This record gives sequence, C-alpha cells and structure tokens, in this order.
Amino acid sequence: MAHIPNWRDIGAGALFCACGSAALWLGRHHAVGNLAAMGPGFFPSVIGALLVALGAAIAVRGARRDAPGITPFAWRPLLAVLGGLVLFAVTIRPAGLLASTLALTVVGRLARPGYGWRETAVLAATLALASGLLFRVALRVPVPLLPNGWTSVPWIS
Amino acid sequence: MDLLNNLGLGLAVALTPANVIYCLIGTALGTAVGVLPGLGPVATIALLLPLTYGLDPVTALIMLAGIYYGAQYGGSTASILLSLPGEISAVVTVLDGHQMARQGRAGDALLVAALGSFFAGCVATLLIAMVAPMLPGIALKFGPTEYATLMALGLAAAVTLARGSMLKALAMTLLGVLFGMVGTDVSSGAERFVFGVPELADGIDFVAVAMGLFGIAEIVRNLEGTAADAAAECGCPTAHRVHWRLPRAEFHRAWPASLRGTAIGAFLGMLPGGGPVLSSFASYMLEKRISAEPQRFGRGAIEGVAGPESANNAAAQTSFIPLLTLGLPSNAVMALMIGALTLHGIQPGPQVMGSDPRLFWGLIASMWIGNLFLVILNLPMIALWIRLLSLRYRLLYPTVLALCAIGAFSVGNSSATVLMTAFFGALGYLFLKLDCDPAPLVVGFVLGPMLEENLRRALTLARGDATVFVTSPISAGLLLMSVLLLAAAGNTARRPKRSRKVAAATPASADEPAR
Repeated sequence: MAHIPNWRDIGAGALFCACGSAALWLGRHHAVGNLAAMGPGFFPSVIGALLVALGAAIAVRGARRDAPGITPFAWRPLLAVLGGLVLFAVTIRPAGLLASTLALTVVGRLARPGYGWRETAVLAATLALASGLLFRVALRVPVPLLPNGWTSVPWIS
Repeated sequence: MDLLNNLGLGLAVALTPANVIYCLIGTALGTAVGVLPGLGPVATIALLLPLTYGLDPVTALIMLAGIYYGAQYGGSTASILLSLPGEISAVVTVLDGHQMARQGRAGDALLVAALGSFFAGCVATLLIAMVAPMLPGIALKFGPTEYATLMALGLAAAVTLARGSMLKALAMTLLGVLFGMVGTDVSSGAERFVFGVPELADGIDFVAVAMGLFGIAEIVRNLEGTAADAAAECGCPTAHRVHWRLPRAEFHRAWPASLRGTAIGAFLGMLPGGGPVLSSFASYMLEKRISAEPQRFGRGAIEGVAGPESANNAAAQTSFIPLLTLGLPSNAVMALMIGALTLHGIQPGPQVMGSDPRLFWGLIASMWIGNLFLVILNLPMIALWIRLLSLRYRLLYPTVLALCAIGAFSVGNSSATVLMTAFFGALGYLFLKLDCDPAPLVVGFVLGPMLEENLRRALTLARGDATVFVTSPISAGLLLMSVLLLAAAGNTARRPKRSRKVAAATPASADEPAR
C-alpha cells in the first residue's frame, strides 16, 4: 500500500511555522532587552521561535504517518458566510443596521443552492426588523438604524 | 458564625427585588439563547453583555452569572433532545442523553440533568462560601513569580483539555499567546503586530476570537454537507413523550453518580484552565470505569447524564473562585466575566472580598437562587425549547449569523470587530480542516499577555535570576503540577489505538456520535 502522508499535520505544521516566522520577522525591530529588563521584543520572539520548532516537529511527524487526507473545503458556504460578514461590516456605518442586516442575510443565504428567493426576502426583512427592535430598542445598543443623513424615527432615537 | 453572617449578607443583597428579577431574567434569557445550536455560554454571554451595561455592578454580575448557568443548561437541553451540543462540555451529555431521548426517556434525561445540576449547584455554593475566605490569604502570598507560574499551569491545562494531538494543542496555545500580543505593549508602549491599523492598537477583542473560531467556523461546517439540514430539521419525535416521573431504579443509579460528579466538578472548576469542560469528561470516564455494566454507556445509561451534568454545573460555580479571589479566569467564560467586571470599574483580585463584600457574597448567594430558578423555569418549559429547536437550519443559520455580526459590532461599536470575527471564522474553518482544536488557542490568547506581564515583573524583581521560579515553594509546586499535567496528557495521547478497540467492542457508543 502506498504511503499517504498526514496532510492535516503537514498543513498545520506549515501554518504554525509561518505564524512563528511572521512573529519573528515583524518583531525584529523591537528591543529584546535581557532577563532583568525584558523589552517588548523578548516574549514574542521566544514564542515565535518555539512555534517554528513545534510546527516543524508536527510537519515532520505528519510526513511519516499514514492518515486520511483533508476533506475538501466547502468554498461556497465559506465565501457566503464571510462575504456576508464583510458586507455587514462595510455597510453598517453608511447604511445603518436595517440595510446591512438585509445584505448579510441575502448574501449568507447564498451558502447553499436551492434556497427560495421569497423565503430569503421574508427572512431578511424579519431579521432586520427584529434585530433593530432587539438591539436598538430593547438593548439600547448605540448602533445606527437608518442610512447616514436620514432622520431616524423620533420614538426610537 | 462567620459563614452564616456572610451568607446572610449575601442573601440580603441577592434577595432585593431588583436583583431577584435580573437574576430571573438572566437565567431565562441565558437558557433561551444557550439552547440555540452553536451558541454556547461564551457566545451567549458575549451577546447579552450589553444588557448589563446600565446596571449596578452587583446586579450586573448577578445577571451575568444567571445568563451563564442558563446558557449551560440550555446547551444540555439541546444536546439531549436533538443531539446538538452548543459547547464542548455538552458533547458528553449527548452520548447517553440523546440515546435516552431516542428511547422515549427524554423526560427522564432532562429531569435528571436539571435535578443533578441543582444539587451540584447547592453543594458548590456552600463549598465556595466555606473555602473562598481562606483563598485570599493564599492569594496574598502570590507575587509576580507565583502568578507567572500559575499562568504557565493554566496554559499546560489548556493543552490537556484539547482533543487530539498534544503537539498541535501546544502549538495552538502558543499561537493564541501571539494573538494576545497584538496591540500596545503595556510596559513599553511599543505597538506590536499592529500593521499601522489604529483598531488593532487596542488589541484583538476576545469576542471576535471566540465567536469566529467557534461560532462562524461551526456554521460553515454545518453548511458543508447534506447532513446539516437533515440533522436540524429532524423534527422532534420525542417531544410528546416528555414526562416527569423518574423510575425508582433509575433514581438509585443517578444519585450516586450525581454525588461523584459534583465532587469532581467542584474540584476541577477551581483549577485555572480546567473548568467545566474537563470536569464533564472526567466524570463520564469515572462513571464508565466504576460501573458494573460499562456496556450500558452510550446506550442511554442515566449515570452518563447525571454525573457529567452535575460535574458541569458544580465546576461552573467553583470556576468563580479563582476569578473572584485571584482575578484569574479559569476559562473563556470567566475571561468574559473579567471584562464585564473591569467595565464596571472593579478590578478582580484578592481585594474584592474585602473591599466589596456585598458584591462577593451577593454573587455567591445569587448562585443558589439562580440554580433554583433554573429548575423552576426549565421543567415546565421544555415543550417550548423543543419548538425553538425545531427551527429549520436554513432559517436558523442566517439568524445566528446576524446575531453574531451585530453582537460583534456592539462590543466596541466598530466594524473592525466584525471584520476580525470574519477573519477568525476563516481561521477556525482552516483549523477544523487541519484537525486543530481551537480551545487551547483561546486560553493562550487570554492567559498569554498576563504570563508575559508577570514574567517580566518577576524577573525584574529577581534581577534576571530565573531560578526564583524554583526557589519559591508555591511557584515550584505549580511548575511541578504543570509538568505532571503535560506528562499525563502525553501519556493518554499516545494511546489512541487502545481506546479505538474499546469503542469497537461497544458498537452503540461507536455509531452514536456520528449522528
């Protein structure tokens, strides 16, 4: 039987190595100091170096072991969910909570094919309204409800 | 007697009408949100935290504690009825609890979970009242040296609570420490890993890390296969079978398990980094090991519900001890509690009990009241929870997504937290694919900065002499415990093959978790 390396371990090891190296590289300008007077660069450098070593160990161990491969990434749900969140973050300041919740719901529902548009519309409207009531009216979170420049409903503000 | 005086003071604080009402509201809301799949105690508290902003500190903390117990119990309800654990510790409850539900014994399982939790809560409350006053004395012996090794112990414990490879868990902890370094360095004012982004100068918000790694990543995972909709839309065949009578034989099996679970949970909850997660697993392992018929476990053994549920709740209570007496968060929930306390201008630590006895004893008394509310609220409301849970996943996940987005935004009233949540969501999904448990990362993220700060102070005081960590007896003891914990974890990690054989010998437990 052919040897199948443990790609999960190799991938994780590579990721840890990359993060550790990034910490060492980004922190290269910070003063390291000495044990009695540690600079801001001391601790991150130590942790970064340890992480590189651990990552290498994990990857090497993974390369020597047989294991099932990584299950395929589900790009569509990932992009829909993250895209919805990013869209929400970008739109909430100019457009307000109602519009950005609508956008988040519509984009988030693209995660899987075959969800009906009518249901999406009703769900988005319900969620926008409910979150407005819950967070702005009930919980009094100071979040803009309507787009910039629109006078908001007097009894809410 | 001191104990009675203190408890009396606590009850006087906790029983003011406002505090009782907020405790009730907190428990009810916590259960309502915690019962939703994917929303464990951390997410629930993060979401409901803004509710407490305007309250008096004592009331706010009492309400938050109510939310915590409620969320935890809500998670158990979801695990038992639908096999949808909302958090890691509820996974244990699924094993036998959901089997009981499938056999039409959902009522028994829910009743045992509620009563076991209540019993554990009562015992743990008394224990806290007795033990807590002794702890600040110990706490005063804690200098930077001891705190630094205590943090190291917390990190070591974080490694042991993860599933899977220990090396990976260790690396995840270190990665969490690095994420904790982002922002302005307290001692020197230097900005580390900020990339010139002003929003990063204050550091990464904990809510973004926790919600992204657990909540968002889990949503994407659920949307992967066709199983997601099937699992969430299975309807509830057991709903009409809910009843309250517990057969005598079952009761006699349940109560000793509950007693042992309480003891395990109360002890582990006090250890930083251990907390409820570890305790429910430990209790389940113990019950299975000492049982005369271990083959019943995984097929609806009532001890498998009573023990872990009691342990879970006892640990939830005693995890307040390190927080209130040492200012140490023993898990992610307590880290949130620290945030809530500082928000109200209270610096958690040994001085709280002396400077603010109303807060301290009021909280302890309200623990008991909160547990009472849990029982009263939940037994009659199970039918309602079931209806909430039968929401179709294609409607449920956009709702959870919207709640996460708005929750993240409201933390600092800034879009940056939402973007960070998305980033950690992507990272969390990658970790899922790479078989890396995110729990140690979260603990590292919380404890890392504290470890650095105390390490620096300790070494500055010792003029760079690193031997102080071994010459201080407390510090040396803590270091020894860390080493033992890691050694024990390394031992169990090297035995996966044997445990697989055990699982194969009991087919019921092997096929169950897949559901």
